[in-house]
Amino acid sequence: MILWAKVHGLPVIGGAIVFAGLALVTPVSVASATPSPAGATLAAACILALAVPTAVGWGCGRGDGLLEIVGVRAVRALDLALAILAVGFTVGTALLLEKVGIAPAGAITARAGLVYLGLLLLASPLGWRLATLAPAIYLLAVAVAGRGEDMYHPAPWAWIAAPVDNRASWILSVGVMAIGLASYLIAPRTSTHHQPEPT
Amino acid sequence: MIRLRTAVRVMPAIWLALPLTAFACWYVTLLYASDGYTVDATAKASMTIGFVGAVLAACAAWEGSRLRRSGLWAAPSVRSRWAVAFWVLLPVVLVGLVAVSAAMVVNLARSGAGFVPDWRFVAMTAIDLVAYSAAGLAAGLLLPIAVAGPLAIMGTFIWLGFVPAIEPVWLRHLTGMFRDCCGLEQDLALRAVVASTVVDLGIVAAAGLLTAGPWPRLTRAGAALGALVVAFVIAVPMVAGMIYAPVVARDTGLLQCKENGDLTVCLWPEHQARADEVVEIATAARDRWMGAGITVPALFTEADRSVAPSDALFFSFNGADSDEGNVINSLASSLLPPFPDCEGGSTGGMALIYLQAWYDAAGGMSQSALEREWGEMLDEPNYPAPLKLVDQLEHATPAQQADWISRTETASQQCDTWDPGLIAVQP
Repeated sequence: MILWAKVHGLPVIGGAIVFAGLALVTPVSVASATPSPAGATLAAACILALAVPTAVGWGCGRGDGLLEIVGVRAVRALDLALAILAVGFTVGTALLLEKVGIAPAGAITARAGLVYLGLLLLASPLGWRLATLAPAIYLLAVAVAGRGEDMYHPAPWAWIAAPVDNRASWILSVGVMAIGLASYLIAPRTSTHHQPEPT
Repeated sequence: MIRLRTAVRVMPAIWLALPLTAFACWYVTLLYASDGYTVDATAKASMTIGFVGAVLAACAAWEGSRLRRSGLWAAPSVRSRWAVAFWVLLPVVLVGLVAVSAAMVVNLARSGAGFVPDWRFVAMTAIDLVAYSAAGLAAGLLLPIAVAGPLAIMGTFIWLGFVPAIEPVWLRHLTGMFRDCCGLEQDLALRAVVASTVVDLGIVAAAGLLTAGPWPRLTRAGAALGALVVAFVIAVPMVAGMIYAPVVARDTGLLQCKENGDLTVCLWPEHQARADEVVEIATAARDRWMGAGITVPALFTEADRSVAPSDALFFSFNGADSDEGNVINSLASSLLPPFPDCEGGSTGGMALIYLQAWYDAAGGMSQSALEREWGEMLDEPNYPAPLKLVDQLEHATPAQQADWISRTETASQQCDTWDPGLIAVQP
C-alpha cells in the first residue's frame, strides 16, 4: 500500500489539492473572459479545477501497467478510489470555502471538478496519460464554441460555464461523473501503459 | 528529417490536420464578415490561432514526450538537439499554418476581399505557432504527458484568451493575435507586430534554454526566466499606451475623391463601387442641413480622424449592407460635438441622442429609417422620445431650430446633472 501510494505520487496529488484550494481564495479565481466570439464566458475557476484531475491522471499513469494488471492487489479499484477521493475532497473544500465566504468561485470549481472527473474516467481506457487531455479539450471547446444565445448564456453542452444557480448544470455534472464511474467499472481490465515514465 | 510516411503514422498533428482545418474554416463563418478589406478579414480570421495554437502546443508536447520516453532526447545523437527539435516541430507548425491560412482564405472570400491573405498576419501566425510549439515541446520533454498535454493546451489558451481580457488593454498586443485590427480607416501597427515577435522569440529562447542547456536544472530555469523577462522588457515599451486595437491610421493616399458641386467626398477603394450613390446621398444631405441652418464642411472623408484634414467631416459605413439611412446616420453622427470627457462618466452625453436624431431627420432620412434608428428609444417625462422632439423641431422656425441646436450642444458637454429643459424645443 505504501509502495502504491509512493508510485501514484500521493504527495503531488495532495499538493495539487492544496494549490487548487489556495488559488480559489485569491482574486484570480473570479476573473472571467470571453476568449472567442463564438465561445462561452469562462471563469478562471474552471481552469483551476483541472489541477486535481490532471494530477490524479498523472499519478495513476505512473505505475507499471503490465505489473498492475496481474498483481494481487486491486490496483484498479484503488486508482478509482484515489480519483474519487482526491476530486471529491477538492469539490467539498471548494464548496465549503464558498460557504464560509472566502472563495466566491468555489461552486464553479466544484461543478467543473465533477465534470472533469467524469471525463477523466470516461477517457481512462485510452490510458491515464491521455485521459487527462479529455477535460482540457472539453474546456477548450467550451471556450471556443460554447456560446449560447448570448455571451452570458452558454450552449446546453457547455454547462460548466452556466451560472452556478443553474440546477440543470449540476444535474448534468453529476450525470457525467456517474457515467464516467460506470464506464470505468464496466470497462475490461486492460493495460494501455506498457512501461512507467522515466523520471 | 522525418519522412512523410513516418509523420503520417506517428504524429497527432498530422492526424488532426484535416479536422483542425475544417473546424477553423467553419469557425470563421461565425464571425462578422469584413467590409471587403483584406487587412480586416485576415486579422479576424487570425483569431483561430486561439484554438489551433492550443491544440498544436499539445501535439508538440506529445512529440516531446515521445522523445523523452524513448530516451532519444537524452541519448548521444549525430544531430544537435536543435536539429531534432526543428524536424519534430516543422510538421506541427505547418499543420497550424495551413489551418489558420485556410480560415483566412475562407473569411476573405465571404467578406468579398479576394483570396490572398495579408502576409503580415500569416508571418505573425507562423512565428506565434513556432513559439507555442516550442513551449509545448519543452513541456513534453520536461514533464509527463499527463501533465504536459493539459498544461500546453491551457497555457496557450490562457495566454491568448485571458491576457486580452485584462488591464491594461495594450497587453493583448504582446500575444500576436490581432483580432481587434482593423477598421477600414486603419492599418496594422508595426510596433505591435515587432513587440509580439520579440515575445515569441523570448518564449522560443526560454523553451530552448529549459531543455537544451548544458547547465543544472535550476540554472536552466533561471536562464529561461531571464530570457522571458528580457523579451518583455524590450516588448512592453513598444506597445505601452496603445488603445485596445493594434492599429495606425491607414495611408490616406489610397483614398479616391469625387467632387459634386462644392462638395468633395473621399472614399476607400473598397467603397468605390458605391461611390456615385454615396456622393449623391451626401450632397443631398448637405444641402438639406445647410438649408436648416446647420454648418457643414465641404469635405467628407473616410480617412481616420487623426489624419483627416481638420475642416473635414469624417464618416464611415459598411459597404455591403448600408442603405441611404445608414449613410445619412453616419454623416449626422460626425456632425456631433465630441462625447464629453468627464471623470466618472457624463450625464450630458444623453443630449447627443436628440441632436443626432434631429441631424438625421434634417439630413433627409426617411420616416421608416428614423423609426428604425430612434423609434424604440426612451420616452420618459425628463427624456422624451427623440422622434417627438424631431416632430416639434420640424414645425419650429429656423431661429428656434438654431437656438435648440445651440442649447443642446451646450447640454451635451455637461458632466454633472443638467436641466432636461435645455433640450426642450421651446423652453
